[in-house]
Amino acid sequence: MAASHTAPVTAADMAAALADAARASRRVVPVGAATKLAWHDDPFETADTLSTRGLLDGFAHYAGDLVATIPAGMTLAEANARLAAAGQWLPVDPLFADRATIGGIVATNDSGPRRYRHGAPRDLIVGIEVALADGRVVHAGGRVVKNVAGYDLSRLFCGSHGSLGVVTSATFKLVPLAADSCTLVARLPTLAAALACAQALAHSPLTPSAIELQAPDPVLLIRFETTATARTQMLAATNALLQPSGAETQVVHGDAEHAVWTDHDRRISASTHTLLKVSVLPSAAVRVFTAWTPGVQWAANGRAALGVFVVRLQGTADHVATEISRLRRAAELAHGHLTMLDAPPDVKRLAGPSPEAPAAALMQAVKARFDPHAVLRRVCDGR
Amino acid sequence: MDANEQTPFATLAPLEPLMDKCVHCGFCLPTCPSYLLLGKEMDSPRGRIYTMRAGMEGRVDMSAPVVAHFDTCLGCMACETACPSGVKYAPLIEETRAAIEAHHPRPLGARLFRQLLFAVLPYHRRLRVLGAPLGLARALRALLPARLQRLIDLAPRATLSDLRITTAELTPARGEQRLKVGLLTGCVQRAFFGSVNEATVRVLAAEGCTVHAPRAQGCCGALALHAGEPDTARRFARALITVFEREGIDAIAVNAAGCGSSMKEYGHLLRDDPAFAERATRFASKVKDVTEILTTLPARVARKPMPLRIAYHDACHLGHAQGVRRQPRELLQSIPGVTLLPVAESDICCGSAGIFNLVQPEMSDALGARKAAYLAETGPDMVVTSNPGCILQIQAAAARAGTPLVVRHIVEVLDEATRGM
Amino acid sequence: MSALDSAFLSRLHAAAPGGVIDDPAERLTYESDALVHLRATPGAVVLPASAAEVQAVVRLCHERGVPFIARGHGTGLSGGALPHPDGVLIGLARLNRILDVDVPNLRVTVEPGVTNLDITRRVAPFGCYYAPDPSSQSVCSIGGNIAENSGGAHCLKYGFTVHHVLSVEAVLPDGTLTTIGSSALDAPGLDLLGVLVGSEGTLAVVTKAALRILRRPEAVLTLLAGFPSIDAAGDAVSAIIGHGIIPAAVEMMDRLTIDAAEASVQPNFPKTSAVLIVELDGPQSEVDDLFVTVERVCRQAGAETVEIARDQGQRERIWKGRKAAFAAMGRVSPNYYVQDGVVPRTRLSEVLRRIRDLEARSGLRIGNVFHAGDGNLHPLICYDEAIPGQAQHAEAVASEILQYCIDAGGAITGEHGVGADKKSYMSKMFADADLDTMQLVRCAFDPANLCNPGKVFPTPRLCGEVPGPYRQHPVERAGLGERF
Repeated sequence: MAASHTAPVTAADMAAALADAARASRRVVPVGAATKLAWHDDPFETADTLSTRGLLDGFAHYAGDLVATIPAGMTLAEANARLAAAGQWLPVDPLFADRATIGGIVATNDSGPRRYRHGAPRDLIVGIEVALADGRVVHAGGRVVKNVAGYDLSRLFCGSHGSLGVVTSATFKLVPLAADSCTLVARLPTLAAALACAQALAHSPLTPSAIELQAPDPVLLIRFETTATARTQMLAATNALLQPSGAETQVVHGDAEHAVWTDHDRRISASTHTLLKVSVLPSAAVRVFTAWTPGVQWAANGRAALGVFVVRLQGTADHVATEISRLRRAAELAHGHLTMLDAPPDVKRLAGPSPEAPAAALMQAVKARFDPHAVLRRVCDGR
Repeated sequence: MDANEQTPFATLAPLEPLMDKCVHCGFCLPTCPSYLLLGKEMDSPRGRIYTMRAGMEGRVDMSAPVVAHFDTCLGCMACETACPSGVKYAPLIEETRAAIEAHHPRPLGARLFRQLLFAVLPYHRRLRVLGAPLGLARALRALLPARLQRLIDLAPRATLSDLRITTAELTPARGEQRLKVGLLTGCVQRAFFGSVNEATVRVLAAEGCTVHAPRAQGCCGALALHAGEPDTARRFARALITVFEREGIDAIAVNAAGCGSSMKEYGHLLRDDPAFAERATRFASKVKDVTEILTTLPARVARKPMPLRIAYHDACHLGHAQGVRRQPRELLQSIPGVTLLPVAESDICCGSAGIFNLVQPEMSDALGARKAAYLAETGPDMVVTSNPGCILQIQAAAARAGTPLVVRHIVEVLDEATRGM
Repeated sequence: MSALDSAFLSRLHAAAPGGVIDDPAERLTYESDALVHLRATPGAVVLPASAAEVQAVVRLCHERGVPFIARGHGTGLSGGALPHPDGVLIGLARLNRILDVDVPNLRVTVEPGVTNLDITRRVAPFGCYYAPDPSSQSVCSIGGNIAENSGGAHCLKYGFTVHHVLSVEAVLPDGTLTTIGSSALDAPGLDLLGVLVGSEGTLAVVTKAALRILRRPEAVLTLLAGFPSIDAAGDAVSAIIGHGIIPAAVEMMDRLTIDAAEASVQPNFPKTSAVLIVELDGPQSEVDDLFVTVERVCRQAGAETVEIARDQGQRERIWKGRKAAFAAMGRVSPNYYVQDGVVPRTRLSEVLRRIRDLEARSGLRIGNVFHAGDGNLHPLICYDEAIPGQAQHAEAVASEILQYCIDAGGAITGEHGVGADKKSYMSKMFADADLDTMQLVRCAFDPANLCNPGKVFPTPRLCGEVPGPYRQHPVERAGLGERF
């Protein structure tokens, strides 16, 4: 039987489609813009797809409350264009931010450089609407930021990769657009120096919105979004802090700044190779970025002060798999973990599965309650 | 049959409005030394008030476990400071203790020990008689029962000269008289800390106070009151009021925090005594800690520089019970060269607490060790406080921990700074 | 006598040696948390001294089908730690050690009985602090904060407890000890930690937590403005946010609560109809810049007085006045009921107007103190228990206020939790299907419904795969507390 593709336009239709699949014991995969569909350890070749792109109704911007409800099929770019009319935005900047949909961003909990100030989608979501495998449409949270009534299912769905149900709309807290933005680009002599500078910044009174590392050629991108006077003073203080490490710095604004950040994303996302996420204690990051496997080309972007890095590997499947094993061990020694985002099938096979998560049994129990007939995707990295 | 008629807690009934103030918020818990150590609701002020009410309503009996949780209260009154609702805990615990002593038969050993304490501690002459042969008792310590060993261990190593000091009955003010002050010479203070009384007299006189220290005065009754013996306390209070009334003084200076806090409450203690109620209130209004008196008199004598890092320890009965925290600090900072060090957990009792260190030795030691550690952590040249019990307790705990501390009474430091100026 | 049999009790003693409280008079003191009108004497109280002891106790309860309830320092305002008469109350007061302070990575690891403020005290010498600051921070435990997802005055900018917990070690209802989350960010798999935080002790008993700490901001500036009306103060708040400024905190008090605070801790607030406390923090230059706008906006909105606290002492005095507001109500009224509701900030004026009408109609005085930045209201309904029927009347008034919050698109609790107190309101805010879905999580963690039963949900869900002994305790009995 050929895999089918459905694109419901209401949450109720989405739920009905899920219930149909459950009755027929057909596996389904929810799909948005498909930018991160491969970011999962479940290959799902035989599944039907359920597109969320038709879910475009119900956008509501409560500007005075700094809150918006956004349908799952809407792209982040479009949502932010609408929110900008009132001088606000949803402060997430994941990979493929121009195409990624709200549903996909929630499902992957993906975030970018400005997570340093604003957090991940999980930290911004305040309410959710989901279609469940039993055909029901349910809600959790609400449209106020402060709310402890009942379990926070909104967070549970963030990063659930379509394993519990299909997100049909989500409500987020927003932030005002900054009055002024600039980025200080600092070239450092060594990776160790760059990481040390990132740590020093995080422990300083300065409040950048991003402290982003580029490697292997060590560069720090330090972004300030504040008032004009404060920006001038913070740039001066940052320069003073970086100088002893031998940093060469340059400040960019406007279009040049935009270009710097677009290029930053492209370093990692432009070509399809192996993509990994490495999360470690920030102070131990330097130990992960040493002793690379010969024959492997690598590049990394990362929230240096948070200890979260996205690493791109290139090379033969053997070499890359060897490097993944090395990185995995190094990350574990640094009290962290490695998650595979995207990789060619032979790399995934050679690298083997990730180690079992401590609460894997509990994750499976939750999954079984939401999706008793196992029609949705497996829990990503939940073994 | 009315349950209230039967319950031994019935005497608490008139205090019910005080209990009603408690909204069970728990703000008292982290400042309560017994809760800190034991972690049990029953050993917290909130839990004790809950039990008092339950006792009054006849829901609990005055059983040994119930009494034990009232016994763990140090009476430090840190809970009153912490309480946002303004619950007055002191009258509640005092009344409860009186009810316990009236109705609860304690084991013979404990009873005899308490009787011994009350037969000796409030009487400076008996203490002195006992003080001299303490050396001998120390030598024979191993032969004594544990409770008595404890008493000896905590007793100050008073020198014979300390024991011989007797404060002059009248010391004229230096220069023009600003105040006529009566001095409470105390019982333990008088027997073992004669030098503190001497220093108090010198500092007050130097600042223009005529100091009357009538020899006929006795104990203020604080020890008895805090231990649930209000009748004894009232007897002491009446005697003390009578002695000081004769002198016609402006203020009564106290250099032992526990005494001061009780004397300030004489009005309440003697409220039902028609002959004394009014006199007690008048007397109480004149009672001042020596640091309160000194801060109201702009310094007449220059202080000589003393380059010292000082950790000031708030005695509970000064800080919590009397709200006197600013004055001692101001006085210390009036000495050039003194640096006051911030001390962690400064609102927590050192574990001395009247006779608590004698009747609850394990808890008292644990609190003493905790206090000594926090004080030592600041690296002080000297620890200063304003209560003799605290001095003994902190010195003993620091010595046990192997980090000996110099602990002085605040008037001794002021005396040194003003002497020869 | 306890409903628990002696065989059970002797095994309980073995599970936590020296930590069991079974004397009836002693158990009595654990009848309620800070919500005193809900009471139930626990079958037994146990104060474990280690995670292993917690695990042994939970295992025993699981095996025997006995309900268990975790309790911190008993400061909750929704009866979340209300005991079960046939159950075991697990008091975590003795698990009060700060296990690790990792300044380079801005993390601490603590046991659940550590108080919120203890963490800040411990890391202050390193220039750090723990951000969530509920008013009860000097006494409330981190375990309790995790259960309730506590906020505080500064959550407007810094978020709630959930934003500051990295991982927990917890005993699951079947007695398994597990780790949820990780010290490094983005633990693989489902975000169970996100749902555990704020689950009000119904999913697991936390025995250890890794938390994020923050660097102290370079500058903190607190502004205290007096306004002629609540509406004027509300306008100032909207204008501040409208200018793109998210202050660290925005708090409002009305005249009745100002007077109560004055009677309690003398913060020396202006004698106006409303006061607004606005706190800005961050780099000095930014704070100075934004402050100019905030002050101008307040004056434009009609502020009669504007006072600026620039040093620690002045700031502490202002916050003392604000944080003492609840308990200080005891000084102006014999009894009071604290409500906790949330409305969208833009609907504040409208909801407050309804509350004022209700006040006039009900004859009960209602004080208002609230986190104006996020629309979290705390109406304090004053009553006198001695007047027959007034307590019930106050409760009815409190309940009506919640309806106003729901009508305005808000929530029935912003930070105090649902607990035993508000579970019947859950169905006003959520559809049956929504509540059912939440209970799917409950069933995955606790199929036997033993972990703090009878809280949060109006009706417990039967989870299907119920183990044997559970059937002896009909689900309807779970969580029965006496209502006084």
